[in-house]
Formats: sequence, structure tokens, C-alpha cells
Amino acid sequence: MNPLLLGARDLTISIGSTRVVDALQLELQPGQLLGILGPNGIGKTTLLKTIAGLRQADGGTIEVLGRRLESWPRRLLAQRLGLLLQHTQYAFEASCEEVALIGRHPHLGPLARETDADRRLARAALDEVSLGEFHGRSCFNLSGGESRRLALASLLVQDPLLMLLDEPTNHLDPAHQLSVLDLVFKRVTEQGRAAIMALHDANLATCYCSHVLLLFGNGEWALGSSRDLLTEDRLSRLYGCTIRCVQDGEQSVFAVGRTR
Amino acid sequence: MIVSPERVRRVFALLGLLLPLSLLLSLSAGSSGWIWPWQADGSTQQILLELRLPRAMAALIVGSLLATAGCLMQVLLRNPLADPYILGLSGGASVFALIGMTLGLTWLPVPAMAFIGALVTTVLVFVLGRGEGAWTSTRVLLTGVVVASGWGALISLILATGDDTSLRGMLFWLMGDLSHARASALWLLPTLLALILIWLRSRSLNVLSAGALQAELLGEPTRIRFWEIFVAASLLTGVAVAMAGAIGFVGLIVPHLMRLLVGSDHRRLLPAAAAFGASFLLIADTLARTLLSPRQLPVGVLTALIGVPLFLILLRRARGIR
Repeated sequence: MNPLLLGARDLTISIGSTRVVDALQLELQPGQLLGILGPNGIGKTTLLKTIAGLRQADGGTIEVLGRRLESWPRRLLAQRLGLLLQHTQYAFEASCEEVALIGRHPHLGPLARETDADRRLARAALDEVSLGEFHGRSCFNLSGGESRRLALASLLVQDPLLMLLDEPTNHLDPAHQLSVLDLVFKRVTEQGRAAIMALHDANLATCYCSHVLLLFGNGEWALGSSRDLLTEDRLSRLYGCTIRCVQDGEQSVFAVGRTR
Repeated sequence: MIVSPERVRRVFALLGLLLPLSLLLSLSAGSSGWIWPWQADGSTQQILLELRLPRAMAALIVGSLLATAGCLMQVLLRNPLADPYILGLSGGASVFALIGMTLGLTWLPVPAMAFIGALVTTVLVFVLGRGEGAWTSTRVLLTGVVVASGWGALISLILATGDDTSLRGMLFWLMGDLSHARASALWLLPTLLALILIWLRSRSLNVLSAGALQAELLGEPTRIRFWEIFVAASLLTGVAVAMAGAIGFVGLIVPHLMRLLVGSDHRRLLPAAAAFGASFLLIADTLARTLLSPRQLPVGVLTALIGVPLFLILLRRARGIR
């Protein structure tokens, strides 16, 4: 029995003439949380979309649960793999509960209606992202952070084994950043799931990610445990600015210094 | 504004009441005087059964088709400002139907030509309006508006070069007129099938409203779904145009109003829009027949006269329109 949730071999992705990754080798087992770090516009979102099957790779193969990505019927894949998009926009007004409930879509037959059990799942997910009181509120009346957590609630209701999250902490205050990542961390470590998330904060990556993938541009990448890979030098080179590592007891903290 | 289940039930009860009431009104009122259907005898019965009833039925059908097509366009564009009239589908259907009529293509029935015209427009608008990988709603909307005015020019051209005897009839039909509308069972059958198919896909429409990417991630084969919607919306619009010409604003106002009353879930929105679209057009047509009686107005003029101010008010109050 192959416990591999995700396997990418020789994965090559380009946007136009720009390489995102060149011959990426990636394996993700249950319980692993992989952080993707890299400067703006380097292709983190493109990589996540490729893994989610939303766009074609230029080369190489991706397997989800031992089966080639492109051979998965979309609905069956959606029961196992979910992606929190970076931006969510609601075109029409709906209640937060209705928005969360949409995550049940791939689990319901084409003609089935949501049951009370589905509705309980949606309420529980809203509780988890601390929007429990908001179930009857309009999705148009949310702040940026609340809207972000609502999108995460939809993903929690979708309940995939492999969670892809594109900058899940966008718009969130520090306390909610931690509670959201706690939530993902718990699902991954306690329920045998795996997650890949694009992050901008090396400190959050240190706290939550077992592994990190650094994207340097021109297809160059580095993959390893976050403990090994997240160093002053490498992060400074990655972002092209000075990043210092400060030891605070057990925890190492990365600080950005102002360049003069 | 989020609607409670009790309110949705009340709205549906009212819509259910409105249908028979509007039917009664349209049967009773007319240029030959007020006739209560149960008091009809001989000649008045003939007026009811042969003139008013078929016209009322046509109004009900066309109204529900246009309202449903409007809902579909709004899902495609993720914008409550879309409808088959604004996006040029009705115009395309009219041009093709006119071409069929003037060339005397008897082997191709008018609804078929109208359907082809609407489908050509849909594909044109959504392919031309397609940006990098995804539709931007502004671009599609603008493309639609431009294509619609292009069809308008072609219509003027056909009318200007056509013979004068049929001009008035064609003009009325183009403005939207139910006086000659007759439903042929041959075309209503596939239309009914398309309606049922759309209703069965209601939850998919909800997911598609969240955007193509999100829908794909939630397991919808979006490419197939979009083509289903293209074909269905074109069929509904084509048949409606073939029956009654290009009637505007029903596909825009009705879904918009119903969204406010029953919410955005298509399992509630589609039946509500179909029911209200039917009643709305029937009442509008009754007014068109009686307001300046014995002179008859094209119903499209009336829906526009009601629709434009109503729409402007709604637009002022609506949120989430970008």
C-alpha cells in the first residue's frame, strides 16, 4: 500500500518563457505540511494550480493517491483535493452558511439536496474559523479577514485529504493567522491529511511546516525540512534583502532589517 | 439582504397566486370589452378561446423563457447586469429569423433560425470577450453591447431593403409583439427539456456562480457546463424571439427582483424567476392591448418603459455590482 498522497516527478512548469520549477521531484505523505516560499510573482500560485489540475504542466507527471492527476474525474478529485484560492469574490449575495455549504457539492449526487448533517458540517466549519455567529449574515458584509476565513470554511466543509492553500493568512490579524494555521496543522497531523501552502512569513513556516519548498526563479528550487532549509543566508538570497535570524529561547525568529 | 425560509415560502405562495390572477385579468380584459370567462357565450367565448387564451399562453411561455435565459446569462457573467437582450442574443436571433423569412427558407423553421442566431451570438460574445484564460465580465458585457448594436444595424438594413407591405408587421415583431405569437409543440418540447435540464443543474449553477476556477475545484467539468448553458440559453432565447420578437428587460428585471426576494440559490431562483417572468409578461401584454385600445402597443415597448426606471432604481440600491 502506497501511502503517498501526492507525487510529482520531473515536474516542469513555465509561465510564458519564465520557468517556475524545473524538474521538481516532490513526495507528500500523510501528516506532512509543506510550505512554499518565494518572492512575489515567482509562480507559487501557478504551482498550486498545476497540482490542483487547473492548468497543464510543461513536463513531468503528477500523481494524487497513486493515480495520474489528469485521469481523475473532476468530481472524485474534488472529494480528495481542495485548493483555497488566493482571491474569492462573491458575485451574488448569499448567507455565510450557504457559502460554506458549497464545499459539500462534490460529495452530493447531482440531484441530492443538502441534509441536516451537511448543514451541521457547515456550522461546525464556521465555528472552527470563529464565524459561528455569522451563519445567517450576508457574505457581502464581511471584512477582508472574515471573508478569508469564510473561504477556508468552505474548504473545511469540502474536507479534502490533500489541502492546497494559497496564502491562507492573507488579510488575517496575528491571532487569526495562528488559529487558522493551528486548524490546518491539527487536520494534517491528527487526521492523516497533508497540506501545501504558499506563505510569505518564514516564521509561520518554521512554526507549522514540516517541509519547505523554496522557489528562486528561473526554475531553481530547493526542497527539504524547514529546520534545514530556513537559514539566514538562504532566505536573504531568496528574497533579495537582508533577513537575520534571532534566537529566542528554543525558537529562531527571522527579522527583516531595513536596508540603507 | 438574506431571506428567511418563511419569507421564501410566502413569496412562492404569492407567485402561485399571481399566475392565475394575471391569467384571469388577461382573459377578461381586451379591446372588445371586459368579459368574465364564466359569463362568456357564443361570440365572446370565441374571442376568449381563439384570441385571448392562445396569446396569454404565449405570453406565459415567452416570459418564463426570457427570465430563465436571463438567470443563465447572469451566471455565465457572474454579474446581475446580464441578459439575452443586452448581450445581443435576442438581436442575433432576430437577424437570423428575419433572414430566414426574407429569403423564404421554408425548410428551416423560424425558431431554428432564431436559435442558430442566438447561439452564434453567444459563442461570438463569449469567445471574443474571453480574456487570458477567464472571462472578465466587463469585457464580455461590452462585447455583447457592441455585437447587439451590430445586429441592430443589420436589422435596419434588412428592413430598409425589404418591401414596404410587411414593414409594419416586422417592426412590431422586432420591438417585441405577442399578437401573432403561436406556440408550436415541435419547438416547445425541446425547450421544455432544456428547462428541466437547467432546473436539474441548479446546484451546479450555484457553484458556477462562484467562478469557473472555484467550480472546477468543486468538481464541476466547467467547459461542458458552459456549453450546456450556451446551448440552453440560446434555445430559450431563440424560441422566445421566434414567438414574440425581441422583448427586452424581462430577462434582466425579473431575475434581479427575484434574487432580492428568494435569494441567489438557483433551486429557488429559477422557479421563482420563471413564474414571475410569466406573470410579468402576461400583465405587460394585457396592458399593451388595453391601454390605448383599440390601438395595440408592442409589448416590448411596455416592458422597456417599465423596465428602465425599475432597473435604474434597483441598480442604485444593489450592492456587489462591479
